[in-house]
Amino acid sequence: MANVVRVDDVVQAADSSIDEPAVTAGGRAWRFFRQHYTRALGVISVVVFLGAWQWASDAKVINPLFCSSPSLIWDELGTLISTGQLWPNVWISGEEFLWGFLMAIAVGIPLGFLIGWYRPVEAIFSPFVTFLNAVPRVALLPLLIIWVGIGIDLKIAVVLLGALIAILINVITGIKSLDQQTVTMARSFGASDFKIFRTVALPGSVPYIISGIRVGLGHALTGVVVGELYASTAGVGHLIAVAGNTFETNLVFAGVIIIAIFGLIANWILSLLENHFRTWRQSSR
Amino acid sequence: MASNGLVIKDLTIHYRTARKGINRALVDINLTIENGEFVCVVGTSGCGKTTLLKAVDGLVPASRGTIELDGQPVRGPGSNRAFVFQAATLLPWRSVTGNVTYGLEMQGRHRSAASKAMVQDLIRLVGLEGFERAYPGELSGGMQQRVNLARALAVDPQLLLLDEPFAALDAQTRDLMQSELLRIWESTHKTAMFITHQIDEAIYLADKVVVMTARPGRIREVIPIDLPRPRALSVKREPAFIEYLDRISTLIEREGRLSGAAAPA
Repeated sequence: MANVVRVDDVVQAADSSIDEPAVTAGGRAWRFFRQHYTRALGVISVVVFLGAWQWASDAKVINPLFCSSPSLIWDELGTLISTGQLWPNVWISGEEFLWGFLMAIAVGIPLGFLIGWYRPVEAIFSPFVTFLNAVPRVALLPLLIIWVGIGIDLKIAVVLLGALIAILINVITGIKSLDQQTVTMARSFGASDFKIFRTVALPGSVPYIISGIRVGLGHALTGVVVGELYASTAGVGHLIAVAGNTFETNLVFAGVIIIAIFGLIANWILSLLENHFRTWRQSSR
Repeated sequence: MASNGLVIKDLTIHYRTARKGINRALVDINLTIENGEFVCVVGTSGCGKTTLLKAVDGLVPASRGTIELDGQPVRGPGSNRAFVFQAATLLPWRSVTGNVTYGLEMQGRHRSAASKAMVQDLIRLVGLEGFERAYPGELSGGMQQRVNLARALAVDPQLLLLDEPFAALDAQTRDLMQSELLRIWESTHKTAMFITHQIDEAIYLADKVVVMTARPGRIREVIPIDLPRPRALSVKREPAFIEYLDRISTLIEREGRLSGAAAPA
């Protein structure tokens, strides 16, 4: 773990060496360009893409019925908001996502610790973890429908299953890759299992927990959409499914964009969480 | 029998490994360390030095024989012993103060004002004043080992167990740390058991040097070091020191040849 810090040091050293030369106006402009040109390139490429799409659609180079266009999608989003269709669907999808994901975290982290730490617990659970990891969760959808129906519970179950496995596997890896010498050190001071857990295992596996949550987030989003596409009466995925069946390409794209925004917001919240934990790790003495 | 200090009697430790079956790490170890003594254990790598130290700490169970500290049998880690590890094994998310306090915290006695003051004193004693809030990643290898040492001293053990703590340091830092350790030891009057493969380090530090043989680990000879204290680093150039160095080196070389010849069996 000391290595990580050293890598940071190296990065800082590299940064400061970039900052050193040329304080002239030209140098400053050059530096501004160097620092921001990748971002500028990204913005330009998106603008060019959207422009080309709009033009191709307007000029009937591509069929707007199949491929829509940015302005049509924009109008569709406006319609969704003005007809009040947007919020109830977003709300349903959000609820499914949040419940499933939070349950996955609440179960996955403690269970992962137990499996990673205690050999017998690992022996008991690992066949199931391996099985669920090997099976695409989508294949379990028909079974889940038989068990819980096609309501909100189905999507919560799909999200839970998807995210849980990702979180479990990462937390188990985190515990297994703890420095055994550090654990022995804690033992030599007579530390109990619980104290070792709190002072070594938990802070030591925070990076793994975070990456488990990050991977789980992707699985959870997929779970919401796939669940709703497959069997549902409401939600953004339902919106997309119905629109697709009725050839409303604009609405399909609008739905995809809503989901993309959803994912971006979730990732943003996660990065806040990540920063929080990084500082917590540093400040827990 | 002596109830003072550490008494190891007929200690034998077997390991059961998957490939080689039963592996005898230590056989019939008999050793007494009196309170306040500094004892170094030397031997070729694989002679079970570290196993012996871990057994004394209670981290490795004895297959046969007994280990007693002041008449109390050792059955597991206890607050009357503290281990200084070869790797610093500091917690990277804790500051120097947090790491030095760690052992006390595990034993539930870190909250009193007295122990906080003692931690502060120890940080000063090991020469890390001003680095209280630094994190291990910001410290050099020598400084990390100072924290490692202070962490062990903080639980105020009767017996300090040191497992090649300076092995990973460069020669200059090692010399410095050796004399620092002696200074700290002389001011704290702890009993010390120090494992090393560096013969000069052992002679410089010890009241007596225990020479071990390899496979299985046995005690070959215990050599009292009759050099006056306090010892300056310059003692390493004195004829008496060189004589000890010759004697112990010869012993270990002969053992190395013997065990090397016996190894294929």
